[in-house]
Formats: sequence, structure tokens, C-alpha cells
Amino acid sequence: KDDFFISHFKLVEYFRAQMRKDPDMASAVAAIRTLLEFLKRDKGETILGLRESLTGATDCLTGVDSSVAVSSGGELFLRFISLTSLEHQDLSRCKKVMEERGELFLEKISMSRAKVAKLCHTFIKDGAKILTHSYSRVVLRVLEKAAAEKKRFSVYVTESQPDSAGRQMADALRKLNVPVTVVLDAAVGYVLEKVDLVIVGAEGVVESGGIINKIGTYQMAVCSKAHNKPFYVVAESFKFVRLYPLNQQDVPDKFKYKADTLKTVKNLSEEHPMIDYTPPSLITLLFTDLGVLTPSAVSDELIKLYL
Amino acid sequence: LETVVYFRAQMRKDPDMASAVAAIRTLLEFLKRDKGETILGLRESLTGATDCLTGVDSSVAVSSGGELFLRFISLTSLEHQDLSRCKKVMEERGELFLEKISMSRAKVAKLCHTFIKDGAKILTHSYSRVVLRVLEKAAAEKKRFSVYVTESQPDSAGRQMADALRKLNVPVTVVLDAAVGYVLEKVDLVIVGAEGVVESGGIINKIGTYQMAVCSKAHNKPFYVVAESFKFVRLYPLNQQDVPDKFKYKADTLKTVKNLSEEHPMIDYTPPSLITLLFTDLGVLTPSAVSDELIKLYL
Repeated sequence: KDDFFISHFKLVEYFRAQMRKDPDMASAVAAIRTLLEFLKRDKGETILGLRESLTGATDCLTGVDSSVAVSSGGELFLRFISLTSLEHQDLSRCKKVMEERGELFLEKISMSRAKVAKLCHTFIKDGAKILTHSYSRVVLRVLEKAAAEKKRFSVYVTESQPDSAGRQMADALRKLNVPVTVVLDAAVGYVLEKVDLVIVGAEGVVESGGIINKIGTYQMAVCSKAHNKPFYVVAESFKFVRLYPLNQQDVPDKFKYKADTLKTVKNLSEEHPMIDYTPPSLITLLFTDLGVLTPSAVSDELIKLYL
Repeated sequence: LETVVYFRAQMRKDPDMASAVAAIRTLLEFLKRDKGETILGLRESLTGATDCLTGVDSSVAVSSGGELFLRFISLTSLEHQDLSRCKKVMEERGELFLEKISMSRAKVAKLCHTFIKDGAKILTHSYSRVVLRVLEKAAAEKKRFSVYVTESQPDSAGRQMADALRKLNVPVTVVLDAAVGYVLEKVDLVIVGAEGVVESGGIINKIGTYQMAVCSKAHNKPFYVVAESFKFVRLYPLNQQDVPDKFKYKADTLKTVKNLSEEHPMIDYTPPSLITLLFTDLGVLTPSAVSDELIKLYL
């Protein structure tokens, strides 16, 4: 039992260290590195025991960072490494195979952002005015690629309360010499007549083809639809999650609030939710490392991932 | 300059009074103290005084209120030979106008509170004294309802609204501006105030109202506007850009800042297609009926 607690503590430490080492890395990628390391150090005797401890480790990590991608990424990792013939007599040989597959998975997802950027930047025409929401590293990568292709465009980014993440995005864009304007969350409807397209990231992509993202995304999508502006989503495939919310209430509370809030606060109805759900009818296209998908195509791809 | 001082004093004396009402009191006082020799000169100086006041408080209602006041007092037979007799008539009409508009909020509240059913969940935006009056009346009628109010950046006026509502023992939740779409599925109706009502039947109000209206339409929730009739203004914007800059930013900002594109606009325009009903002291109007009433006011 002591080993259990100590190893979980070390797990969390390793995860935090990974996040600190490379702040540009998605938290899900850091989580998967941590799980791979956990796998290497695990001293279990059975495959079943190994699976259980990996699931336990994933739960432990979601207790640190409650974003949707950490839990979906962890589940996909587990499925991928087990998706092979594990019929060797020797447990250590099985573990080796699993580790190799784990490394392969990690390598694949490390390249996913570059793939997404390659697909998406062609949709940004010269002279385009783009609206984006809050701070998304994927969107930033897409805009970096477009800027590198010598496209001229300007960006409106929402301030995104309550943590003002939009300002971080604006600073990063200024470093790329992209003209950027920070607008209030309340000014989205006001500014939409001026923009040509809307690009947002996603914290999770759900089975219906809808997305879970920072609070404010849903009303941005509704207003884009009202103004007939294309609403594009950029997301890596490890963010595909097995959820099917029909409205805002259906999204589980464990994703809605930060991990610290969930642990300390009793009455969650007093807290500001950090995310909202955007239904697929409002999304034009999703750019993922599996290709450019319409929302209806997402459910096919998602099932294939989880088979 | 005395005008400005008097205006500010009026605002301080009664913070619950609409700024347009304070402006009209100031103009009436100005009229009484004016020592001009001709009616035309009087009109010009009143117009000048109104412009001066809009330089202090750039809300739409101050300019529309001032114009309506001027029209109302001149709307009478001014064919007396004696200038002082004419002025006296104008002053009397001015007092009449002031009395009428002081009662307008109560009339609006009386019309609107019946639309709030027992157990209703209401969404409102930022701080509006008219909406507060309506909710006070509903609470006084022993209706049980709860309110969601947006924080309304950049001045967080929503918190002031929330405090005022807590004093009335109304359960209130402050939500982020970004959370309007999120919370709309829970509410039954949306009630907002207006800084100005335009000729098309649309409204000018605190930034964030437009996207609240779009989301309400998407969720099929009624979007009610409560406004007094002195807020009816002779503008016909077709989109956000058409609203004049002098209304979009605070008076101080307009005077000090060179490059307005760097500033956050304080208001936006909500087209009439998104509004269900407007509650005014002239009655309960559909947006299309507003243009009729507006023309009648300004005739």
C-alpha cells in the first residue's frame, strides 16, 4: 500500500516536471509520457494488474489536471499499447512490446500539431481577419505556419475571463509580428461583422462532432452562425473523447472546473464553469491529424480510434 | 460651465435618477436663468447647453432627452408679444415634461412585472435601473424568481446589480460575459434595459447585449427590453459600425484618446429582429410599432 501511494506521488511529480520542462507541450502529451514512464517502472506480475494500475495512474493524473484531453489521451494510450498480440509466455517480453508501442504512440502524437497546422493554414487567405478565443497552442501553431508562408492577416482574440488567457495569446502573436487586437468577451457579437473566419482550438472533441472548449466558445459559434462566418476547429486526435452531451448540463462536472476547485469547493453551483459544449451544427470543419473532417465524419473516426 | 456644475450636482444628489432626467432638470434651470432676447437665440443656447452636457455624459439618452425637451417646450403657441410671457409658458411646459418623465419608470415597471411568472429564471445584462425597478415591483407582488446577471466587463457593472438585487432578497448569480450561451438553456426569459431606442425598433445598450440577443433567438427565449420614451433617438443604424463614435465611448475617452480603434467600445446595437417586446411608458410595443411612436414623439 505504501508503494502505491509513493509511486502515485512520484507520478504526479514526474507529470508536473514534464509540464514545466516544456510549457508548449499539450498537457495530454505530458500525461502520456508520464504513463509510459510508469509502464517502464511498473513491477506488476500480470497484464491485468498492469492495465488496472495504468487506469489508476490516469485517474491520478486527471486529479491534477482536469482537462478532457488528459483522460481521453490516457485511455487512447492504454488501448493503443494493448492493441497487439500479447500472447508471449514471458511477461517481460509482453511489457517490452507494450513499451515499444507506447513510444510509437508518443512519436505519432508529437507530430500531430504540425500535421494540423499544415492542413489548416491554406484556409487562411491573404488579408484575412481572424477571430479566435482564449489561448490555444494549436491555433498559435496554425497562425505561425500561415505567417511563415508570408500571408498577411490580422487577429482578434477574446480576453477570455476569468483567467484572461487571451492576453497571453495576444503577446505570443505580437512576437510573430501579427497585428492583434484584444476584445472583450462581451464584444464578440460586435466584432463578428468585421472578421472573415473564426478558428478555435478544442479541449475535447465529442462523439457527435461537437467540441468542449473554454467558456465563451459556444456563444461565439452561435454568433458566427448568425453572421454566416465559417467556424473552424483545430484539434489533435488524442482529444477525441467518448462522450455524447446533448446540452451544457450533460458535460460531467469533473471537466467543467479546475482540479483544485473540484477538490476544495463544496457548492459547485457558485463557481464559474471553465468550459462549455458547442454542438456540431454550429461547426463548419474540424482540422485534425486524421484529416479535415466535417462534424458528422468525426463520429466515424472516433469509433475507429476506440475500436 | 455653470451648466456642467449643476448637472453633476443633480447626478450626485440622486444616483438613482436617469442621467437624461438630470440633464433635463439642468436644461430647465438653464431656461429659467437665461437672459436672451429672442426665441431663436433661446433655442440655440438650449441646443448649445445640450451639446455641452453630452460632452460630460456621452450616453445616447442625454442627447435624445435634450432634443425631446426642446421640442416639447416649443410645441405650443408662442405668439405672445411679450418675451417673458413666452418664456413662462415654456417653463411651465418644461415642468410638465419633467413631471411626466419622472413617472415613466413606474409606468414601465407596472407594465412589465406581469410578464414575470412565479418561479421564473431571468437573465439580465449589466446594471440597469429600469430593470431593477421592474424586478422590485415583481418582488413586491410576492413573485418568486431568480436572476442571472452578467458581470459586464470592462467596468463590472453587473456586480452592482447583483448587490442591489441581494438587498431585495432575490436569489442572484453573477455569470461571466462568456457564459451567456452556457446559462441560456436554464433561463426562461431575458430582460435588458436600453441606453437608446433607435428608429428601426432596435436598441443601443451596454456591449454584450447583441450577443445575448443572438443566443436568446437561437434558444427561442423571449428577449424583452425596458426603456423610457425619452430614450427614443433619431438614428437608423444598419450594423455596429453605423452607431456614431460619440456614443460608443465614454466622454472622457473621446476627449483624451487619439486612436479610438484601440479602445473597447462600451455599447453595441441590437437589431429589431432579435427583440420580442419593448416595455415603454407609451405602452407595450413590438419593434415595428416603435418607429410609429418615435415619429409621433418627434413631430
